[in-house]
Amino acid sequence: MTNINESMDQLTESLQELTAKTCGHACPCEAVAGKVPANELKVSEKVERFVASTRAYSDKTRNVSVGTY
Amino acid sequence: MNFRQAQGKQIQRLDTGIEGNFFNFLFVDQHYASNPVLRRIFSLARKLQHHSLLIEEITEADCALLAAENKTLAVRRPDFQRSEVHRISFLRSPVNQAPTQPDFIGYVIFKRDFFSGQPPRSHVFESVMPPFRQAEHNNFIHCQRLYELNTSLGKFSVSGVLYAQQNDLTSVCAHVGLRTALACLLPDGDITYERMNALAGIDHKTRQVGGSAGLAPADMENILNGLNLPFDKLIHEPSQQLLLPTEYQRDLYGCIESGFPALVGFELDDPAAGATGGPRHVIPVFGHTFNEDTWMPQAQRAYFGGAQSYFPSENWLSTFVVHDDNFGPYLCLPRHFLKKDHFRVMYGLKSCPTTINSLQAEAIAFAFCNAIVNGRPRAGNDWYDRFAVFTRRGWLVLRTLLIKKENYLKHLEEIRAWDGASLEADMVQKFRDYLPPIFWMIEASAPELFNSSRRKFGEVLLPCDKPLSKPLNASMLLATRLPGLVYFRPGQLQIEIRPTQLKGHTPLFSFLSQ
Repeated sequence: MTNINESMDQLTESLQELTAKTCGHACPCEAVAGKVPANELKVSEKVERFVASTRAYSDKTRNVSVGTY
Repeated sequence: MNFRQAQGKQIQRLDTGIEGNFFNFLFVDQHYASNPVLRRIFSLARKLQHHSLLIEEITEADCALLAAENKTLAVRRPDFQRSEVHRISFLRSPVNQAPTQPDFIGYVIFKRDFFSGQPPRSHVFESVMPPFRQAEHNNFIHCQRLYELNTSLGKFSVSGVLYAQQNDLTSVCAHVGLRTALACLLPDGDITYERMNALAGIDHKTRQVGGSAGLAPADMENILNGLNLPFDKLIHEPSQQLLLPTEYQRDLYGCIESGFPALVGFELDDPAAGATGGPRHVIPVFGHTFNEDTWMPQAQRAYFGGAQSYFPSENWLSTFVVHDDNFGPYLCLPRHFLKKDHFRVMYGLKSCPTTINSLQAEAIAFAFCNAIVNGRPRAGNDWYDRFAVFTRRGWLVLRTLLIKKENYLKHLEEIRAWDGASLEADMVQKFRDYLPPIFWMIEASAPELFNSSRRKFGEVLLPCDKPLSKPLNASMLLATRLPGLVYFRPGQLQIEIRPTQLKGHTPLFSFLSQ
């Protein structure tokens, strides 16, 4: 049988890894108040391209009126 | 004066119990010309346990709207003579008992128009029935309105989505579809065909509708623009080499899930159609059903090569709830039945103009989830860390809604984790001080958390009226609430991170709790 579900295997592996490392609420990575530069949140180019292409299609078809209903 | 408020003259009070030998089919055949839509409405009434009918006659003297409709008909068809209108109310109480509000189910206005030398033409002018299936049956209709009726047995009200059938003379499918959609949004809960025709430039002399003449998309847009109602538009016109790059169902769902109605237009199969294509039809869409056990989302990805970065919550949608003026109210349209082969146009109505649509908002929110997880792979609590894993591995479920600030704040005040923890009052106040009146909310969940428990990790909030930045950056973020953490963006340069005691998953937003 082919492993058709690599994505699910990766998820399972990551969750198992997380479970093994869980150190409770007192762990050193616990969230504290702070500030980060806004440019740390970067939007991927793939998302940017998707948004740009769908907007371009909307602009192109904005005044299209074909047929009657 | 409309048909709901008109003083009707009672002509019959009828027992409709099966034990009393009343049969819907026979009654509609004998008295209402076997009208198929009326049969559908009677079948809904049967499911809703009707035990009697109140039939009243409405005349032009009682109803200014009827007088206006008939006046227009006479312009359109000089051979028009008169009309006969019955208002039929469905009641749960037996015929010998005075009905109270809980007994009132709904009503239908049946109009029969008479022309010289021709058989009468009849149609359901309007009807409001409550949907039979409710949220507990996984049916979600967020834009129902309350309609009050003034009957000869007293005043009653019914909540539902207004249905109407075209007469193919002064109204066509686009009119009745628009009427349903507009009724969901306009303050009066209805609009006249006279008003729509005036906005579309139909005077019934120089320009007529009916027969094979309908409304063009530009006419529908003139009506929506004339009423100052913003809308999203999707076009798929293969004959013009205009091929929609996405699936219209995602946009349609985004609109419905935000509590707004939409119109979907499609081309009919017609072997005799020429280069201009086949005839077209449009229907209003205003609700959806949900299948929490659907196989499709995971199977699509595993078996059929769907390389998605996340699961849109639309994957769990089973059918869209529609009216079709040819067939009747509250019909279920399977999610992928109406494919691009036939789909041509969609208008998604909304409460304010937006610079991005739901699909784009969802993609941007996913990008922010990814960016947050890249910057903070762990936060020391189980549910944030699971959020991070589901994000990184492409297993998030995202649900996108256009939401009002007051609805979101109420939601924030109500949500609790399993341990009873709530969001701190000062945090809620910060949202109150900071958020714009309307914005996009993209809820982030995991498959089993979303479909079974109807809960989520948290949500990303994006502005809906801000021009897109180039390149896309954190200026498009309002805030993100996650287990144990809230990200605010109070200024252009910095993002403020605050810990919260709310570290678990919380319920999804629901219009039902508003």
